[in-house]
Amino acid sequence: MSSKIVLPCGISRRNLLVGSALAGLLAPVLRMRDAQAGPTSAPRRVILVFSPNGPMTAAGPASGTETGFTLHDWWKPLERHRAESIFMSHLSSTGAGIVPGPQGLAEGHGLGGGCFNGHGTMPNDEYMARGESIDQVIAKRLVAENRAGVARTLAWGLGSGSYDAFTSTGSGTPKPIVPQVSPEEAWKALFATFTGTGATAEQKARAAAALARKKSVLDFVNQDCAALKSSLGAEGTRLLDEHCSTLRSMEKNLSLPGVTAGSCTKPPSPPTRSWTDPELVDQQMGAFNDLIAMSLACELSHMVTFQLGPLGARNRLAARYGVPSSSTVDSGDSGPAHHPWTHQPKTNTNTVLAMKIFTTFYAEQVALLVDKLKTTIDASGKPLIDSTMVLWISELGGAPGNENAHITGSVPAVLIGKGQGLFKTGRYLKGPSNGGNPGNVDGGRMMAQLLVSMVQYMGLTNVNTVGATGVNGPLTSLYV
Amino acid sequence: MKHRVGLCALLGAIAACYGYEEDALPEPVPATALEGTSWPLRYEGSPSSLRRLSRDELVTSMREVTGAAPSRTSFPAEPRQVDGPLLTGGLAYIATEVPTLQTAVSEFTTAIAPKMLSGTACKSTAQGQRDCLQKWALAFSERVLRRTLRVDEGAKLQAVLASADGTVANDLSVVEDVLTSVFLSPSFLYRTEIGTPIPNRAGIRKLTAIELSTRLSFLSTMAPPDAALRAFVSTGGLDDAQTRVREFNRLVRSDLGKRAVSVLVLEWLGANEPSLGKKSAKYTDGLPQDYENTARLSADASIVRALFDGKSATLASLFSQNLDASDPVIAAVARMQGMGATVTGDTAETARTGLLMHPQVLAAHTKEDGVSPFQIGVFLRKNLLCEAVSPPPPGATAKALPDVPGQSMRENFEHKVSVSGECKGCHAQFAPLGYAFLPFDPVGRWFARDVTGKAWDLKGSIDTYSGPISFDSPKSLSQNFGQSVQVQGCFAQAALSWSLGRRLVKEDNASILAIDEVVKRTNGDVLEVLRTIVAAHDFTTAVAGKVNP
Repeated sequence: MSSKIVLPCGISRRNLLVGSALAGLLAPVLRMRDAQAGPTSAPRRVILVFSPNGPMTAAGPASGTETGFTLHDWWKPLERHRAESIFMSHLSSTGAGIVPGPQGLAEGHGLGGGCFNGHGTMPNDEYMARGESIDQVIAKRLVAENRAGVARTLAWGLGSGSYDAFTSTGSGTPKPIVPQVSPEEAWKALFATFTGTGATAEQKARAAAALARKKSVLDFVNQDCAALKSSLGAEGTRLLDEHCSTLRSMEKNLSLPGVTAGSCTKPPSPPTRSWTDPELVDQQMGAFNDLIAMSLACELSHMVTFQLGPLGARNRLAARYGVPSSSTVDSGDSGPAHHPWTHQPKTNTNTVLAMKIFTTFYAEQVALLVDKLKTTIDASGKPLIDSTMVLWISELGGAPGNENAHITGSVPAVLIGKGQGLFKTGRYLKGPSNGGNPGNVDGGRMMAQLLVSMVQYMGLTNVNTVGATGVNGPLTSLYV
Repeated sequence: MKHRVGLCALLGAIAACYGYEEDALPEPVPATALEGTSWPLRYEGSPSSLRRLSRDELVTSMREVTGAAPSRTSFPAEPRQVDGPLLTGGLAYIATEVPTLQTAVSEFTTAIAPKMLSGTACKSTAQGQRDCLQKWALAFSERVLRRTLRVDEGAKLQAVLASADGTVANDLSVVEDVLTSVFLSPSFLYRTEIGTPIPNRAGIRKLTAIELSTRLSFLSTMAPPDAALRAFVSTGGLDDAQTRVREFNRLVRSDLGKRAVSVLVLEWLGANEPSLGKKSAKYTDGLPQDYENTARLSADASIVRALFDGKSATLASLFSQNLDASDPVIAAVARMQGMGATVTGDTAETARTGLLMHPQVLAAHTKEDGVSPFQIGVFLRKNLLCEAVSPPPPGATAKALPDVPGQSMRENFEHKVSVSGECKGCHAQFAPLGYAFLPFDPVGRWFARDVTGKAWDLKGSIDTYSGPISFDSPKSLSQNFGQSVQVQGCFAQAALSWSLGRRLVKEDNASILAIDEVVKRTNGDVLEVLRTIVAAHDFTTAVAGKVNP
């Protein structure tokens, strides 16, 4: 994988670095442009997360009723963010049955790979989307309205491969946006010459006060937990230890460097590593989470894309995850990687095991990212998650009867964040798609409407469609 | 011994007669296995001094102290044991639940802070405002935490109040923080029953006055003690059984009390959680959008009518009282719909009587998409008869014989399990109970005919601990269950477990004997069972948690 710095927004590296240095100066001005609801409003942000290959199951993240649902095991890491999330299953890939592909209607990786753009694929390249993805649509508007931050988008990710989920049309021809996979290089691009603090003295004081309040509350609660635990003797230790230690961790997190109010401090540079080594995947993700949070807190950007692996990724995880090794499959790949297992039938128990490991890993990374958004306070004195939407969608889905790979029906989606009170979270929404290729047309429309909701959340309220899907408006069931 | 004369004097140790004198405590019933109870008694409990408030208790408690109710679904759902009502003794929050809990509390306190600030009537500035809010915060905290604050807690509360100054923005933040602090405190989220040692009764502890008033209040209303009940804490008045029963009678007749009894009954019937929304769209299409919520309210109303508005509060009335045909919830499933083989609607044959035929209950024991005679049969046998049902052996499903075309649903179900004598014998324990409910679809509509067009065959008979029970329809099954002393005793056991937050142990024998006696004497009067539990001397004690020193 190339380690070149990718600047998807058309800003030169030099300009970006200069911009970084000016961020502290510009940030208050940019915030003023963003602030529409009052002086303490935070700017809105979106993080689009892509995971490759899909889960090979129709069931998706949850089952049950809209409010009385159970998260399925593979998505359990997100249980801790249940209250701020909307879990969706049985959607189809964006534009299913509507957008064109090279041989008639697109399906498989071709359609799934266009999940963030809804344009279908090029006549001569079934994996190349015809148009730009929504991060680019949003970024252009943010730049035009002088509220983009320093980097109009951040395109980061894990893994490596030929095809990427996000596309730009900077010169008229669609091009994949190759994500930066080195946290060290990502840091250099944004923070190497960063000098600003990103917050005025007043904002910092307000944020510090908010943090002090949180500490006071947790201090009171922690003391009560300790006293109750003690009064119950050995039984208290057995029963309440986990509850109390979780509360202590929450309080401790408020005191961590970088989690101070309106912090916007310059983060330390991640070390030089061979970041494409699968054994470093946890450190790589942790470093990116820190950088995403600080970039948002410093208002260097409001639009982030994160690719957990490119289209049809042959990505691998650290050995400790125990991914079984696949024999060579018809697509030609093999080993303890994601994609070859999707070419194995689900009657092979190792296929299910591999799908479980990868899906759980993706869910855990999204959960860790949200953890960071919850504990990082922005200049308005509130956690980033209050104003940041995280949308995680997959390339493919599955089918109940024939759960082989490369099916663009029954695609899952997870939306996290209340969007400053816009979205009604803590719910499970089930779409109409029950699998198959290309998947239920209405399920594809729902996915497209979900993307429109993200675009409109960022203030592009006159944008009602995405790509060539033909939808006209956002997904109304998401809202309060 | 100075027991008053009464029926319960026969049992000596039983406190079912209100009014024994506390200076003459009954001799404890030996902690050995009892025989001859009206239901098959099993000792499966594991006592604990800690009890997590259920979501129903959290919502009721928070509404009682603030006047506004948080969303029940915003709180982490309790892990449930497979059988019986939700029991939260020994249940603590795990790490992944704490952030969800924090979010739920935070959202609630943000929403209600303006109203609560207004309610403090504090309109001063600077230190004067802080002093006023401090006074309010102390009183509010003690009410919510159900105890007096420690000195160091008062100081920490002062820290929370530090930024109050009489400006709306700062005072709102402070009030929100006070609310968050107390609602997130484990002293609120859990109940403790630690008690004090009783001489010569190892492992049994006498509840403190606060613990006793809390136990009585939560059993009666699912909420913390009100002012009248709190007044007994300083006097120790609740040590007196008559006083406890009088207070129970007062509380249980309030709206909160009726709701608490409804929750207990629905927990016993496995129907306290919403389930109608989980059904396949082909069944829910045509039902009102808020049907899940209104069905619950309708079930509550049916229970209240059966237990509070009639001459008796027995299970017989609960299981045989006509459901209100004018109730929109009943009417939605009872009206005639469909054509030919898909005609649904209540007829004379349906005879929709009793809570078991209420959509809220039927939906709780049916699959998402089709009939579930084995599921409902197993449930009735385990939870209403308190009989054990062995799980199917490995590979049992794969052995089931395929359907035979042209046979009715019942014939095919019977055919499926006829693969061996072992399968038939096991299913004979519960399947007939489920077959009686075959005509109901997952939301409670009654299909006029079997899918083959044949008439329903709903009759059946099962052997039970107390003898055979026969029936020829869901109506006669319900009526027979309502009259069955075994079912009544099984309910009484569930109620006693509910009051203790755990399953029973041999140390509960005195209470077990008392409820057994009252079941037999009153034909399963639900309120009388609860009164007996409250009156029993065991209600004032706790079996110590196993690892509690």
